[in-house]
Amino acid sequence: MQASLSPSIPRIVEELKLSRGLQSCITHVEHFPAQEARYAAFPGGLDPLVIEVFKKRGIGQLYTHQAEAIQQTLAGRNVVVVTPTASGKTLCYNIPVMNAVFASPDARALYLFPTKALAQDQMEELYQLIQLSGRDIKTFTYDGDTPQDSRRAIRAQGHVVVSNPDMLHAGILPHHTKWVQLFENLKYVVIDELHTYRGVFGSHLTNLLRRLKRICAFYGSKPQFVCCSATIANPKELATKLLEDDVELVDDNGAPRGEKYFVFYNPPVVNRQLGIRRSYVNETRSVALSFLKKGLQTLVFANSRLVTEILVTYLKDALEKNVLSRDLVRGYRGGYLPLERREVEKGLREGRILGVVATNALELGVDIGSLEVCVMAGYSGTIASTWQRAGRAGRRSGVSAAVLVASSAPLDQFIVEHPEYFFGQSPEHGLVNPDNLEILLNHVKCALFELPFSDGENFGTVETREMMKFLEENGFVHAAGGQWHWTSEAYPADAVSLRSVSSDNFVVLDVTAEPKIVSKVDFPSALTTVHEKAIYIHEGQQYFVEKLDYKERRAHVKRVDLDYFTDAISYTQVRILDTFDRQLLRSSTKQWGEIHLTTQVVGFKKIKFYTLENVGAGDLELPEQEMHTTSYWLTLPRSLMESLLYLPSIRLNGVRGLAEAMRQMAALFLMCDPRDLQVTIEENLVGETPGRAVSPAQKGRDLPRQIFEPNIFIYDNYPSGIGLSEPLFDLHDRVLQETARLIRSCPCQEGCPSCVGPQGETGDLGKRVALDILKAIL
Amino acid sequence: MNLAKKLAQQQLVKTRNEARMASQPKTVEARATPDKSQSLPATSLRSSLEKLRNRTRRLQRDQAPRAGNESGELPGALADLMQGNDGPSFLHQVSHSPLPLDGPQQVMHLARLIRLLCAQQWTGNPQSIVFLDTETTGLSGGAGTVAFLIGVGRWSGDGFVVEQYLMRDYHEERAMLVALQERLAHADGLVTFNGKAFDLPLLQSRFVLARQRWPLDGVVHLDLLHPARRIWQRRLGDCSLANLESHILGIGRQNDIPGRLIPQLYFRYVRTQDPEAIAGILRHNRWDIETLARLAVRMGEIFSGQSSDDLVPLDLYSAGKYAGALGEQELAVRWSEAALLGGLPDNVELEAKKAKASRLKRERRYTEAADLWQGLSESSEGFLEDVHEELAIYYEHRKRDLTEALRLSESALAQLRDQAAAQKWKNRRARVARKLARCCLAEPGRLFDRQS
Repeated sequence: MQASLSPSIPRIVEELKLSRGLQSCITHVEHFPAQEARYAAFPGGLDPLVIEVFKKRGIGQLYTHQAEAIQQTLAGRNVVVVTPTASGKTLCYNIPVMNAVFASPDARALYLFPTKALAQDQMEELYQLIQLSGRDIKTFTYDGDTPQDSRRAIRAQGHVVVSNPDMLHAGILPHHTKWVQLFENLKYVVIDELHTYRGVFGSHLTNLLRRLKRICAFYGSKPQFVCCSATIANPKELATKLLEDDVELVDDNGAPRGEKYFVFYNPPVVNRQLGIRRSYVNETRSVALSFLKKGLQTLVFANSRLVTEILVTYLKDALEKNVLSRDLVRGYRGGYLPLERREVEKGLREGRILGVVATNALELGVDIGSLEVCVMAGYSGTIASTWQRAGRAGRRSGVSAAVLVASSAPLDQFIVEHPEYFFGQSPEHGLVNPDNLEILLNHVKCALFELPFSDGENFGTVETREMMKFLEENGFVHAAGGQWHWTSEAYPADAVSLRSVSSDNFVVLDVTAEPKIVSKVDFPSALTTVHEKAIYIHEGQQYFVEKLDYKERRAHVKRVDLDYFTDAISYTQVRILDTFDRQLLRSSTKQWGEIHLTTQVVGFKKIKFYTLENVGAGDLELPEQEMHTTSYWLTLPRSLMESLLYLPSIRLNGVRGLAEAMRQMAALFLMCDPRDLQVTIEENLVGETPGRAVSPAQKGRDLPRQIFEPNIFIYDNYPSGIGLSEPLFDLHDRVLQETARLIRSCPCQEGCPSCVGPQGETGDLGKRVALDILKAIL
Repeated sequence: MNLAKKLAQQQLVKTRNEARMASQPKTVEARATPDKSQSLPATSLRSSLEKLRNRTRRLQRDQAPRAGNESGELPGALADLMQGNDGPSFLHQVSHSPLPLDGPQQVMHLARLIRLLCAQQWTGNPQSIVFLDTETTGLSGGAGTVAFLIGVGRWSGDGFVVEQYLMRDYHEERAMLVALQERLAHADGLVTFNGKAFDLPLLQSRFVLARQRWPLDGVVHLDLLHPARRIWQRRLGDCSLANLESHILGIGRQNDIPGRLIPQLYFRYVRTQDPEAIAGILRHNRWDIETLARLAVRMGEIFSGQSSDDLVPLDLYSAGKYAGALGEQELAVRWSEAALLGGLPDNVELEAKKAKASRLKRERRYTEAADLWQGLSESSEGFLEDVHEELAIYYEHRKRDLTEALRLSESALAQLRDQAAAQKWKNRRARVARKLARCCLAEPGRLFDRQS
């Protein structure tokens, strides 16, 4: 029924173009024609029962990429499948796995998903297939939520164990002796959403797989890897690096694709003098509504939880005005309880839910079927994830649309005003550096705990002898009988977390009547979303936070119905704790050492719905959040700054542009993800006169920042550092040279996201000032 | 830069970090007024760090584990064995225990205990029961935790012996496990303390790692920790083996090493091969095995019904409850009675009396039960709803004193705090009132009599 409505999509796009009269908001429409499906037969060598099971599910033939992936897998090769969302990737590994278990009931497979929610989803699908087969194939999820008393059965009997890297790291590998059946017979390891393993997370995964392969070798198995990835620039390279083995790339998508429109939408200017545009949130609302009103299933992506909830509220209100049920639109984000999420997913698949507003929680492969329209409230920050979000809309037949509504942030403005940049650029690269010393050493310790190292044994591609000697000096290992043994009471996996975010979270408790859990909020965002007097929004329902019980990790909230929401104001400060090395250069100083970052939520604003007026504010006394990490920093001396013949604010813009470009270059050289590094610029306090200290009265909001002698800090975005700062210190010269080349050769006029950042962030002269600074210090 | 240099620097960062984390308060006052030290050249920071490092070093020295200072006990032969290149590829030490553990009575009690607590059908030879305790390189479990010393207590032709299997270095583990495998192959039963959760899974993991067959499949396993808790936790709280040893068996150890130091002492031993470091652990393990055997025998005696007289009333009460749960009704009654006679703390006494009344009720000794409930109800300061309810049932259904049953319902409703439970009482009141009305119609005189 809905497919028949699809032809209205081009009409709606046309209407959007015309809706603002002469001043169109649509800056670009990219049209993708429909693509026919290409089919192939089931590869030879498959158990007839497997083919029968899929026939029962209505799958009588395969798409070409599926057939190829299965063929390669059956031929014993590692495979990485890179095709768009909803092209049937899971089938590429479920078929070989079922085939193996049918052939031998001892065969085992391990599925790794980056999040628990995804694992849950896969279970459903696999479970249905197994039921159709009538065979006794046992699949289990094994994660932090698995009850203790069922773990033993899973370890012994699970044919397919569905888990995540964190659990493999801390729960399975260190206890491999309890998993003998799995490791003796492990035939396939499936790694889905491979593109999420970039940068530090990916470096962890490589080391984790080194450990996994060691354990398998001990028990005499050598599993094959089947990986799936969303589109990134270098999937084969990334997979090869993660697996440290040859991988076959399968990326020729045979799945059909309906016609698609990709629309860039820039909200209209409301104040010509000041260049103020209409709020992108309000605009997203009306864009989404124009589709929803026509009965088109629409998914709205927002970049924050707050915006997600505001949009849920707006859309529910709007539906009500049109005499429709509020329940047709739902929210979906981290923090929703699992049952609620399942319900939304199911509602979407079954068409009971017309619209969903989500955060990136829906970006990964959660099965919601495919929708007709995707509206993005603001640019997500990367090309790859924008494509992935857009890919959520798009049926195998019929027309679909993706609309990017730009916010007034410079990056968004740049993207919508330069469509050729977005459509011409390849998505981001996935880089990893598994031999980062800090990461490597931690995993070597874990590996030692799991099995002694033979003298001269390699860990992946790394020689270990020198590391063993080092660990021996520090009392971690002891050599005996040609092997290195772990000699510490510690459980080393506990000392390494694969992610930068802690799993600690706050429970939001509705105490309007009988206390009831509304949702969970992860630690970092708790202080900004459920501080006292905050308006916490869940599924469009507002709650007033009465009490934040920091110790018990609980927020007590009551239902309210107000016309405003709150937005927290936080403040970050960097303090240098120690300098490990410093070097005076021609006219600047580079250093690396430890820094202390303090973030504090100091107050909040009350903002009225729709008009977004500021209708009040409040102060807050909340505990500081601290992070202790390592950083590289470059000091640009005052004399140099003053020699630049620009206004101080323009100089500072140049410094900002330089810092941003350096960060991108640094990520490239360190082979990490740009998000693994953070940049901040602060006044260099060395040698200052005491009178200029920041006074207590000045602290907090709206502190005027006058910077005379800037320090550019590029720090590891991980508690206690992850070993990026020292190499950056060593690579300083090359990074600066390449940064200069990058900025100079960038074809943009006044800055773009590929060099110093978009013009709106660094001003018209950002690019020039950055180059002047580089000239002075190189 | 070469790897070695990098590694060294890495370690420096780590130690500094840890030292700072450990000794610096987290509050950062420098937000308002920047800390002087941050704006000074790094030299002053260096020196303060150096101080910190010295402090942690001193701390480590103070906390360094020390072997038992009673060196005289180390037999010359042991020292020879440990240093010698020939001999077995691990240390195997047999010591005869001075304990009179092998009386035929005691062995019988132990067999009975196993039948009672583990396997009713057990027909093994009590002489072939082994007592097992391991010393390990940590408590976390997982493949990296090693049982480096395994003590096995058993009966031999000439008394109780403790055999100890020690790996003098890591490469001796497999040989040690093979020898242990042989020793355990003939065991008919196994006694441990917390072995279910700790020693056995750990050993099993070691056998998997050594690719050796696990010798204890199907062997009856009596883990004393849980039974001991059932009997003594109410009184002692802490039911560790050491605490039971001193409070229940009345033994005090001289110069024992604290268990938490054992991993460190062993690591020191493998590095230095200094027998001094290991002697204390060997002794500790032997004592643990002996205590384990004593405790098992003691519990055997208790459940044989003998020697329970010297249990204090609180333990008797706990033991009685436990016996009841195990289906030993006679013991349960005897001990509970004795406990009540001996005197119990108020809250336990209430619980004990309630339990006794329930038992009397089950045995259809309603009047005795009612007396107990009546007594409890009268002596209690607070309102005991469950007791009140028992009484109401008694008056309504057994004694058929409807007026009293009605009065009890009224009084319950008046005293009830939790209104959620009120409905039940209202139902009862209505029902009793209906019955009463019917009685009055049938026998008008009855109501009248009562009222007078």
